Amino acid sequence: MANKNDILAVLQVLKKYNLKGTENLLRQEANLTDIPENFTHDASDSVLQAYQSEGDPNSYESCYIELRKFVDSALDIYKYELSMILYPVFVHMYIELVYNNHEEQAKALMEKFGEEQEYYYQDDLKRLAMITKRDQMSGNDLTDTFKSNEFIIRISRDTLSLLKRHLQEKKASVVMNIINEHLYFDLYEGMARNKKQCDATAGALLGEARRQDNKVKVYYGLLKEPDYQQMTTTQAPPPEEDDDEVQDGDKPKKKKQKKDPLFSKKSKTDPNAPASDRIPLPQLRDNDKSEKIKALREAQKRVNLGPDSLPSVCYYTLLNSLYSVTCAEISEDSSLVAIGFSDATIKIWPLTPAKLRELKSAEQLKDIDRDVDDVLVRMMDDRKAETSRIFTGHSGPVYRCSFTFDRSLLLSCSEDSTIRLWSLQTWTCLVVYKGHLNPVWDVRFSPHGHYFVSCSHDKTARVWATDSHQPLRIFTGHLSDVDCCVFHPNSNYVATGSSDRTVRLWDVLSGNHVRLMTGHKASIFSLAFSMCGRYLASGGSDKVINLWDLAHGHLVATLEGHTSTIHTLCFSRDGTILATGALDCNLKLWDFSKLCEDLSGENVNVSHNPDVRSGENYLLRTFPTKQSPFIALHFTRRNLLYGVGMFESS
Amino acid sequence: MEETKEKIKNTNQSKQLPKDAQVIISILRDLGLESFEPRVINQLLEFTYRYVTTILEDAKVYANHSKKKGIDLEDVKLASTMLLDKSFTGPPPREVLFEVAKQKNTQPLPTIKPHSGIRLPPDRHCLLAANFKLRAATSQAPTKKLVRSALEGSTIKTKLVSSSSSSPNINIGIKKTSTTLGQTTNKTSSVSIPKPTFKVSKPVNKPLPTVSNEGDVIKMDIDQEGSIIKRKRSEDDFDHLS
Repeated sequence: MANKNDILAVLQVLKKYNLKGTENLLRQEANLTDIPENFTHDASDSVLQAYQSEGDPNSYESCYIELRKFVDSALDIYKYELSMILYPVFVHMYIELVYNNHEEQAKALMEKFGEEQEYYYQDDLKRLAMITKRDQMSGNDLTDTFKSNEFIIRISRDTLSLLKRHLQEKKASVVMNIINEHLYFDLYEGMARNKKQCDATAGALLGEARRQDNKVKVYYGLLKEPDYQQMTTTQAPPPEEDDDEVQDGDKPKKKKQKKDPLFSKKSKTDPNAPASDRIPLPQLRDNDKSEKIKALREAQKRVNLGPDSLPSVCYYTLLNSLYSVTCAEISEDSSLVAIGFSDATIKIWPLTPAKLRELKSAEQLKDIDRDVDDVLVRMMDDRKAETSRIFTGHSGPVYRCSFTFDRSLLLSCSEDSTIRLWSLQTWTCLVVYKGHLNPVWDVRFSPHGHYFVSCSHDKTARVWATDSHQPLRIFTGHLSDVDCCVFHPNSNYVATGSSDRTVRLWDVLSGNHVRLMTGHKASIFSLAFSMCGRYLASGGSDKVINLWDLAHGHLVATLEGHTSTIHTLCFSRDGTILATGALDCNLKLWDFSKLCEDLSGENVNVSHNPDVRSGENYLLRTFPTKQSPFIALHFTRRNLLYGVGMFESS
Repeated sequence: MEETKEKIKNTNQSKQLPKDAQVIISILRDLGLESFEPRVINQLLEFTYRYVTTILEDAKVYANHSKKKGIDLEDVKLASTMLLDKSFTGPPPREVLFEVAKQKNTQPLPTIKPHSGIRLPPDRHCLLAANFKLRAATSQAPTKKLVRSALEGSTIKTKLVSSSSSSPNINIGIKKTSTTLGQTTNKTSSVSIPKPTFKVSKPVNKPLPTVSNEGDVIKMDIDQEGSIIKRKRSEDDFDHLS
């Protein structure tokens, strides 16, 4: 194919210099006698020059109308897939006209056909409509994206052959050029999709995901929990699993009996789980182990939720703070809340009656005995206890905070493009991580500690470790700024949602993206992994929550119902309920366990897209607050739901 | 009914608004924004004026440089592209990001060494230590006695200098003090003041360096931070003795 292009280019040159004899000879030799005389062709390889077409500017409109007529007259089974080419063809026609300085025709084209495109493309079209001159194109984000990347459309073999036949019959050179240069058809075998299916995956900035994008195997299972028993029984010999018997006595005897049922469940090796050493994870220290044991004990006491027993909700309202609060975050054990403000401060409050104590000074610390059990309590100074603490240091609004599992560190990210690590024991800033060049929108600690991911306006997400002054991994690939990021429960993957309306899953080990999921029709602001690790829920400005199956990256459900942007999603601790909060002041609870049951019945493979379930069957309840939109949701270890929001007085 | 009332109010207002403000309103309308606070117009106008003024000033400079009489279209074009590169930088292009990412991502994740405390980057990237450095005491420089009021009045950041014998128990901060406009530290003045009142600008976590008053002469290097006006004032305030 490439050679043919070269020969055509040569033909063009010959025609220009009126060398008819040579031209005819070349045609005969290269067997190109069927090409029409005035076939226009982009011969150069520079991307910008690709728009240098000699097509008549006035014919663009008629070409588009002709194409649209063809799509409308096609059979129903092919119609919806064919209609997906109208938008990219339209956009590229417009850009070509602008590039070749045909401003009038470009404006007319936009006016006539701009509104007909789908509603989710209107925002992009508005931004595109502002570009009317060639000079404005250089450096513009949107045109750069369209120019240098191909619009991807998944199409079945029948539809594609129909399209090709039509274009060859009509010899519509303009449209054909555009399609050859700027569109990429991802072919699949099988029936053409119906309207619903097409709609489900449409909406991203550059079309849909190719089959290749979602091919890599994703290890979505959870990591094996380490053996906690070794920590508690220091004197007795290491106990066998599933063993309730009393070993040779001593103090631990009683403790062991109580704890055995907790730990005796031997986790089966999950074929979908990554190896424990796939990425280096920090070893659990004694302190961490005791925290985990505490967490497990509390988990025993948790309320089992389900459609019959809905969670109780405790909503914390922030007063007098409508325009100054930017984020809220509750720690994993629900004892602390951190609120970020637009005046660059962060305030921490305890949610328990305990006050916030500070670490003793160095001289005092030397005096305490280190072998005492409650050394961690003794090292805190009771005299310096406060009911709230303020962190100052950022120079821009704080967009997100994140606690570590053991509540000793807090991360915050801000518009000043830095991320700060604060100690919650000395109440001071420890490190400033500089690397992003633009406002950082989200920062999250990994569930195993040590790593954290941040995402920013510069279209990247970066993985750092607390002891690295530079990022360890940089995830590039999004076409617009990355709005939210979250770690998978096994810490091996990171999911990011962006303003280019796609959700991507990245592998921390290699840095490549392993899943590309399209289907949102507006920016994505919130992501959450299910407790089992297999499903990812995403919500954003398009007021719907999409549920993706990470095994192959398919959209499995769309939960509609909210009437405004969704900013927070949270799964219950046992993975049965999904709670979603939005700016419309509503909290909705969805039955996730029922959804899982319905989904487990289907068998999915790579190419077959499962039916997208709608959310009506799964909505359990809607709880409206009076006038307070939700900015954070958090399930406690015992399955009580906390919500945080600001009171909107007007 | 309420909509029409609002519309009438808006049109009345726009009749009284100056022409520039109406232009801003129409720009906002083109972008699809119908409702906005009135102060938004003021801020956008200020930005417009400042932007255009800067471009025209720069264009004048370029025109002068090429010895032309008046500003040319090319001068304005050059001025606008220079300003674009300077102040309106966007995220780096995708290709650059891909290159950088490829470099970074091929490095394996570092192994995590077992360590009890909080894992932090090397000290120079943290905010743990004091960010001022102590200098060893030099021989007695020509003295200039500082009037006490001068010290108390201006908020000057001071460097504590003590003789090397007492240095072991003082934290040596590695980071130098922040950039000052034209270091004036060459004016070493050894001053004997009974009780120095100094303000340390950044909070220090570790215990503060102990000030040893036992017979050591405390030399104070005045490190001036901030505007030129401040510097002039403190220079004038010195009483030159000797």
